Amino acid sequence: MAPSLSYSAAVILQTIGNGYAYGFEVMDVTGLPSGTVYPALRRMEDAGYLRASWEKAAAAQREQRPPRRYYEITTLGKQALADARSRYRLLAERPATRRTSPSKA
Amino acid sequence: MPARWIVIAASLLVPPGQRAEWRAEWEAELAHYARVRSARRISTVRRSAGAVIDALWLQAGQWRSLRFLLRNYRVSATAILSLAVAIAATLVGLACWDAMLHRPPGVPDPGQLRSLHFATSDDPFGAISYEDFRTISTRTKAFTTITAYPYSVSSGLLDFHGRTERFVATEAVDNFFAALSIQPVLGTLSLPRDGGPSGDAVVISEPLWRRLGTDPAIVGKTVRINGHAATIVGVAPASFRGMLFVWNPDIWMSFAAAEAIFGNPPTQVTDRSQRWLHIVGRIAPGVTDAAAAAEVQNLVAAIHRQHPSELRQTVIVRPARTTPESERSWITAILATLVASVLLLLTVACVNVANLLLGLALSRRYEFSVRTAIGASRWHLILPQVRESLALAATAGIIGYGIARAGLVWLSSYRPSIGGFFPSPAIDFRPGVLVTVIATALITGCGLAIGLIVAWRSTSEGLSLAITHASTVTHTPRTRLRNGMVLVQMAVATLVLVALGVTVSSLARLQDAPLGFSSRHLGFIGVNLAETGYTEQTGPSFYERARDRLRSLPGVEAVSFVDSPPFLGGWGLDTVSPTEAPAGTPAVRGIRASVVDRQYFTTMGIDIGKGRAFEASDSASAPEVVIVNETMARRFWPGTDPIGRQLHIANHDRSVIVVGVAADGKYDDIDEAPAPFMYLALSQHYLPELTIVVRTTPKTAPAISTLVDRLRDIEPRLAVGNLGLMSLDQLLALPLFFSRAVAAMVGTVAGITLLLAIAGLYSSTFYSVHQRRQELTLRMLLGADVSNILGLALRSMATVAVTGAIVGLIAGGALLPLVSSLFFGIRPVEPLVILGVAAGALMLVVITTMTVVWPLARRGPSLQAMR
Repeated sequence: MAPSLSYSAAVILQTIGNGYAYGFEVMDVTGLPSGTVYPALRRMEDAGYLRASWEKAAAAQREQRPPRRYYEITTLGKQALADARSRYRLLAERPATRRTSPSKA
Repeated sequence: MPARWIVIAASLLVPPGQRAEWRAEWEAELAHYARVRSARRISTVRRSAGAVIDALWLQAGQWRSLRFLLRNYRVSATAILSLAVAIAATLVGLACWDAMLHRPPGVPDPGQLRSLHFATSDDPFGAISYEDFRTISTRTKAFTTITAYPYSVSSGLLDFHGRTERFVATEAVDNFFAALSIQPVLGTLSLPRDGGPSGDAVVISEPLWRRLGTDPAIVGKTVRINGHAATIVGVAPASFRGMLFVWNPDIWMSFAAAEAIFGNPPTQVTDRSQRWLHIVGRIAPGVTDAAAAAEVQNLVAAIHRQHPSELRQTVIVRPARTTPESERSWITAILATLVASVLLLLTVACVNVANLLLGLALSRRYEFSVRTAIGASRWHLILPQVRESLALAATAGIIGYGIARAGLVWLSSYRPSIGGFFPSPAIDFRPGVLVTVIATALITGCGLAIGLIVAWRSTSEGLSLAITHASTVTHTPRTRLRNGMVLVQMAVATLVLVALGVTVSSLARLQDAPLGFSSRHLGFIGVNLAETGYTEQTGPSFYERARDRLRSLPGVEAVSFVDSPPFLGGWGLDTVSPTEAPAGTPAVRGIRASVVDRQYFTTMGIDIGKGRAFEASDSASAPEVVIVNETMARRFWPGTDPIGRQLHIANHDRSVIVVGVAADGKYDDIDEAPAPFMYLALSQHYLPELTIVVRTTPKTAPAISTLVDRLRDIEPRLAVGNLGLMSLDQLLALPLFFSRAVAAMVGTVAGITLLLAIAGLYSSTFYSVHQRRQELTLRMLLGADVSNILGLALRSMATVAVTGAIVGLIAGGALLPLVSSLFFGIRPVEPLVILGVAAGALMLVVITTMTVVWPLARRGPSLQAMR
């Protein structure tokens, strides 16, 4: 049985599902501190709810910064998020703002 | 960029296999954040601080327990901080005990070192005369080597190549360093034998050597100590802080040098009745303490046969410590109180942490029940919780050790002022190996105890109860353990309030205690005429001119002279008997005597109840007169008038006539019992070194420096600075130092304990109210108002809290008689303190409960709470 998500983890998962792909972006959107967001990202990556990969170097070079690590939700993550939405009503009420997918090119 | 450094430092916590990738992710995020946001530095630093938690989480790896603590970091941080404060206080208490009672002197092989005490009926840990020491040291076989030193220090100013340093000096016999096996840093540590050549040789400490510029060729150079030339023969290592309690000498000198520099009487090394030296020696291999004591006892008996007038002394051999045996009893009492208090504080902190973790464990009850249902043993549930509390205690221990060490290092370098004449005391409180080992054991014990209590409690509920609990509205969880914790917290808080009440009350009484003299607007100036060439013939005229000059200043009411003002010691000790006492009546030893001028009683405001004060007619050629205090008059001439009676002063073999009876006063300590005291006339006992007492008016008092300037108008070379100038407040700093230190100590411990107890009470109340939230909401929906809800919560807390307060009061009442001797004017039962404490404890419960319940009750019923 997959471990159930805490409310904070569910909010973070939903934020990733909405297209916010970087740790600091998740912090900006959710208002959660970095000490909460990053361990939650690691946990959910371990649990298979999230998949992480590195940004393409060319995109980073264009902006003269190192490549960032971005996260995307997996199918298992989507199931866990749906389960969490049924348990946390407030989560379902949160605006599901979708932003465009990050550039990987 | 500080944020980047935080990430780099935190990356050290990340497992090596993940470190590079982890750091790359964090640095990329910070770089992007800084570029797009042009963020303020504080904001970037705050964001990067989370990297530490992230790194810790990764380090925790598969360790579920640490991950659980990190996930609940607010509760963990609260628990760690409260435990860290308590551990820090415990370490401070243990370090004080070690430094003041247990730690041996800083010499090689301290286990062989023994102190020899020579008990008399007056002094259970008496000293010995110089001549007796020499006799014993040449004849003893039980000790391979023995040496002697006085329990006294002198202070002054040292000049070396234009650099002036204040110093603490002491004396010792020639073999002092050799007997203690102290090796020099420079030169030799051999002091000259008394009366021998090189009498001006001195040994200095390594810290003084460093203050003087760390001159590698300092040996053989001349320094001026209080204006006298002395030659440095060696530098003692910093690891050796001397054999004296509290004072760390900068200079060691021979008795001859002390005679020349400080004016010590030459009779101290020739007169067998002057017992002022303390002996330490290295016990011979295979010799027991009892055998050594028996041998020295035989030597003392032999001395007594040769000199029958000497006191009979009983020899006691004890392991050598820098704390004098005579002081150990009260220091033990104080430190036992301190250690008991901090252990109590640690108990409160452990209870608080257990309480917080119990609250946290509520959220895992369902998890534990399910794990039990699928086959996990109770041990599998207990182990991770014990691991969590051990990790928590270890973190708290590291933080607490850091706090305590920083505090103890500061305390070791702190130099409190205890009056102008005295050098500042200093003790090395830094925790040693023993304290660290005990503290580690305590921390581990706390972690284990907390973990086991929480694990036992959180796993004791069965599966069905845990599962059905979620749907039971009026279910009241078992609260015995939590009630027990509230009771303990309340009892400790009450006990602490009792300690605080007693301390404050004692200090207040001490500060208002009658001193026997009018204590306002007095100033004291020490002067030494010997250094400026005055003699017994010319000195008295200087005193008269000084009095007239100072008296003529605006704001000066009276001027007087005394050999030593109250509370600074330095009195003469005489052996006295009434002349007309029946033959065979033993003389009374150790009667304190002070030399004063005829204005002294007026200046100090001391009443002369019978007879008269000294007069001009009491000259050197007139019959010698004395004024005794009321206690002495009652003791020597009970029921009769002492005026005109004669006293025989045995140690000077002369008779004096009593001309007056002065009111009793405080002489050495504010809390001392009335004791005999007598005053001799300065006009009949010229002294070149005196203290000038000046009484000033409240509003127009001149500064003490102005008084000194006027004295230097008469004699420009007058030595004043080295002896000190002080006001009465400075004078009272010494007798009040101990009481103020105790008050500060108890106050600090009490403050921390009280804060922890309040936090504990708050958390207990918080959790029990929140457990009953659904019930309280139902009651409000059914019509209960704010006062009903408050009353309900108070009633549920009151029984336990009041029982705890009563336990605390009973414990306080039982402990008070044991420690009442440490406090001034405290009776075994203090009704005001007990009433105040009971009221304070009650207020504590009411305020804590109201703080928790008020927001809930004021918001009114919330359907959210019913979900």
